[in-house]
Amino acid sequence: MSEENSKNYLNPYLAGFLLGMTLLASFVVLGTGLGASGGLARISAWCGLCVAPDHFLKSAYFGAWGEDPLNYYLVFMFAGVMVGGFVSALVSRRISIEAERGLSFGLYNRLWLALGGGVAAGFASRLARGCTSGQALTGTALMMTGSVVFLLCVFAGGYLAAYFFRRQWYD
Amino acid sequence: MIETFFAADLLNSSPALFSAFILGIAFGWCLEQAGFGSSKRLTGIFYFRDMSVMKVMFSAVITAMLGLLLLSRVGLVKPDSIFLPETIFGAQIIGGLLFGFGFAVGGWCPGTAAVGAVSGKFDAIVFLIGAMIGSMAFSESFVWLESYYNSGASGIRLVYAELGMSAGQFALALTGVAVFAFWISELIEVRFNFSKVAEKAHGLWIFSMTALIVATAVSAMPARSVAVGGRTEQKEIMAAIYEARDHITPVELAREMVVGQKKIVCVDVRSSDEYHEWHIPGARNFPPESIIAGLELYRNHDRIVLYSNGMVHPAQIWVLLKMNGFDNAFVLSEGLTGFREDVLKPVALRIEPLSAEQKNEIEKWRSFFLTSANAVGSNLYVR
Repeated sequence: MSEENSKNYLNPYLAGFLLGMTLLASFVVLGTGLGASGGLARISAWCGLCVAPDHFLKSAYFGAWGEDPLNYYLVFMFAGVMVGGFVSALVSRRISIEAERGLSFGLYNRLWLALGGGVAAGFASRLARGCTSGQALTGTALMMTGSVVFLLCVFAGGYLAAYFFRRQWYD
Repeated sequence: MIETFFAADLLNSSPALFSAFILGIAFGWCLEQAGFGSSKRLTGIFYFRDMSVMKVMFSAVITAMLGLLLLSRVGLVKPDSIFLPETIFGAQIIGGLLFGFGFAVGGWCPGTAAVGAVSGKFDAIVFLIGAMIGSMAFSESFVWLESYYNSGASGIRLVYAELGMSAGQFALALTGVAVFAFWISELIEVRFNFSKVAEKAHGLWIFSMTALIVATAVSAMPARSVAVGGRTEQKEIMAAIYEARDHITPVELAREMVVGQKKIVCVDVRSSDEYHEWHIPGARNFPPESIIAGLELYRNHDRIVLYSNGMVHPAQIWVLLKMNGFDNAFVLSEGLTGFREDVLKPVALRIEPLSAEQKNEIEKWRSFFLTSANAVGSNLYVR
């Protein structure tokens, strides 16, 4: 497609193959797959501890991660994702300060939807024990039933919601 | 044989954290190169405009799946050296639907938002802040959510075993589905203009053929169950039987599971209907034809405990496992009947005199096996 060419993205199958090799390397070296939401949740727990240490240390879920939630492999992986993404965007000249949206869709509306979507996704990833990386990608590659079910439900939920929010991308 | 950080219990060591950081860099690089630093490209799949998410995700899944299967078939990776995410049907269905909603509305998922944020997309930063708020909201409401969090907990379940297939057969089938999905995706993007797809899809031919050839080859390779473990001599099997090293009592099992130091997996060899009605928390249930293959994952556990209502059926499977080199197989003596009698029976219903300590222990077992959220059918014996 024209947009694809102008942005010079890598061939999607090659990108997928390389992503799969990264996942395989993670299985072989770490013994676990890739993950993103776990690292993010621990950063959230750390923020909580900075503000109200007593409260969050006693909380049933964040509290289980102890006083130093950042000392965990998924937090380091999340930091790596940011570094790798930045380097890639830099060398491919794709860094641009913007918020993509449809021409007639207001910026603040787009940001409110991003916030709301983020809250839902963050909450859901804790409930399901992972996100698109840790469950859908990793778990499906491991042929785990629950992860396949999760993946199918993500697309079901996505397609149901997308129709009602199409105006934010397309006029 | 490769020893993973997970298997060595060193996932929090500095070398593991450093490796995770490096893997993260590769992960982020791949996502960005695939164009996932753009929310419009990501959500394109929901409007059938840009199918990259399907193409990239599915290629990554089959690459890693076939690669891992190949490594385990040649004996380089042990199945139990890799962490397997558990299946919790309720939480994963509700979580999946809600996550999909958040993905489509927010325009990002956590990993891609991180990549978007560093490429200057400030809606991605807002999404990440939202996801942190969502995580915190989850933690704050966990007390009320706990039963939902574990609803439908079914332990480690393999999708190919559910379908009555072997791992190789499933891998081949999924690769076929992926290749089909790739071509459909290409067709969708050009609104089913066949000549246009033929023009631009040179690379896809090669990728499709390679994937199918590798999948066929991998699925034809024999699983290494027997070769890895070796066969146990008849003499040794007989000795194990005579020295009573073949069984474990319900009380021993309950104690070990409550302490939680040993890696134990219970295997319910009853019918799946009976299994779904009630089973020991975390127990696995396999279709008869895939039981040996399914237990491959637990070869290096401390114990594989086979149980049924009685002992005949488990004992027969025990011999089969022994012959396949499983030195960690045990039969639950007195079966589930004994387990209900010795472990689960409430103190009030027991005839024998009990010390306060014994009563205490029974209460502990009951809350572990029955009232905890992972207990399926916990109405049994709960008044």
